Amino acid sequence: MVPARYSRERGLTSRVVLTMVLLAVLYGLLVTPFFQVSTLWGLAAVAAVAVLLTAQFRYADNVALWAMDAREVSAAEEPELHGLVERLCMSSGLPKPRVAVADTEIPNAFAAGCRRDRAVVCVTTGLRERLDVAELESVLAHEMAHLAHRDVVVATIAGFPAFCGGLIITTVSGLLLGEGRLAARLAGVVLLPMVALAVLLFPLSQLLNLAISRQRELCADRTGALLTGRPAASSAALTKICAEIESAPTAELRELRPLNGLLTVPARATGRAVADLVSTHPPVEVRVRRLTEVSQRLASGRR
Amino acid sequence: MGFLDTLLGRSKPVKPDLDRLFALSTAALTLEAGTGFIPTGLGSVCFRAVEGGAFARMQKDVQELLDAGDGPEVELSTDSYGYTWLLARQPADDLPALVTDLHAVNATLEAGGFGPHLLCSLVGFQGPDAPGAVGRGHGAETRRLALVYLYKRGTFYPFAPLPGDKRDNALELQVRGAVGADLPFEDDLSRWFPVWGAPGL
Repeated sequence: MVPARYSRERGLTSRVVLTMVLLAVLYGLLVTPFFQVSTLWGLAAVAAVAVLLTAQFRYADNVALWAMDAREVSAAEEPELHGLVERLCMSSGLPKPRVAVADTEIPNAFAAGCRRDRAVVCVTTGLRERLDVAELESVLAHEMAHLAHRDVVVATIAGFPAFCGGLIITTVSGLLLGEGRLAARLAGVVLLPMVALAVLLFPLSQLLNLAISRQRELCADRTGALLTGRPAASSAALTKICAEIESAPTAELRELRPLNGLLTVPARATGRAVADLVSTHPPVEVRVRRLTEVSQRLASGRR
Repeated sequence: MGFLDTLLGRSKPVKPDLDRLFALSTAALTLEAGTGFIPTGLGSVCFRAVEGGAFARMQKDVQELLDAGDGPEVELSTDSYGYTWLLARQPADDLPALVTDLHAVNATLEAGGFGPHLLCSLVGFQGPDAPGAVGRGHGAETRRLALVYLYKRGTFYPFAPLPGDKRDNALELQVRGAVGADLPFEDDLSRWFPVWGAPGL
């Protein structure tokens, strides 16, 4: 029997459950004020949330590809990439995602797409140049683990309250401080309570979002390493990508920054001193340590 | 994958059914009757070599298991993606023996807990030798075909390579028509993954 290889990590599970509960509370907070006004407003708020979320589910994958200036590649163009992805699909039982390449020197990769049949795995040209086959495979396995875990969906849902908060703050401050007519300013004043709500929600939501992201990264690292059976290659790839990013010029990193949450390793030039609480990914040292544990388990044959 | 697993970010392995491999013996007869393709007596199992000593021991066990008994030849090879192929050979007219070998390799790896690293098994077939029967511009060369068993899905699909990294899709669909009823066939055509240059093809 095999399930033991995918044995649960108790601590991780309980933390994931806790963040999910907090997230549910946050969604409640988002719509409750509208229900306070009237049931109609409340329902309208719920509908608006649903519409915005659906739009994100539907178009986020293409937006991500567009933002990275990536293009989908066929099996004839990139036989090696497709071959690696296909083998990972065979050994994992996952449907095959689309494969894309982004023409960027910085080595990195991301997965996007909320729908299984539209999912896409993207690597940069820099990644292809710097990693060997085993390392490249481990990165692809990590991204496919994200797809298997539906992390794109989770990230979208988790990031949504923060997204709304940001939207409200920018809209209302635009109304208040803009060149607009008096009516616009009045509208801004009327909407001030919403800003108060947003100011309360935004940081909370953002912290939660980041916590969830870090947890999902560790999960994906682990599943990816078990999928390839080569945690050492995963560690090597992580270390390489990280070293490259730290030495890369800031301008190039800025291109990647909007997608930090999606990337294998976030494009952050500095940040060693920044509290771990505000990063999308766990520190590489932590990730490599976890991978070493998987390595030791495989080596001992313990299941 | 269940909702809870999604929520908790874990994946659950499916329970594979290796006994489905035995259906190949019957399917081969139907295949010959329907398309003229006959077994080559070659078959292989693909798995990924995991780092660490435990897997190296397992690999040795498998080889010893197959080398024992009547002494079927087993060849180990590694492909460009780092996957290990174990090629088993039996007389072309003894497909049941070949299927038994493949089943044994799979079962041993599975029992050792390496099920998650099993990829597929395949059995090779060759086309009828009739000259000019092909008419696709590669002359008298014998057509090759493999029936591939996807371990994770428990399903079969055909793979028919043509020279120049092309696939004979027409033949593959024809094979599905011929033996689709005998084998649990893979419905999702996007999962008919190519296995270029696989040993035993």
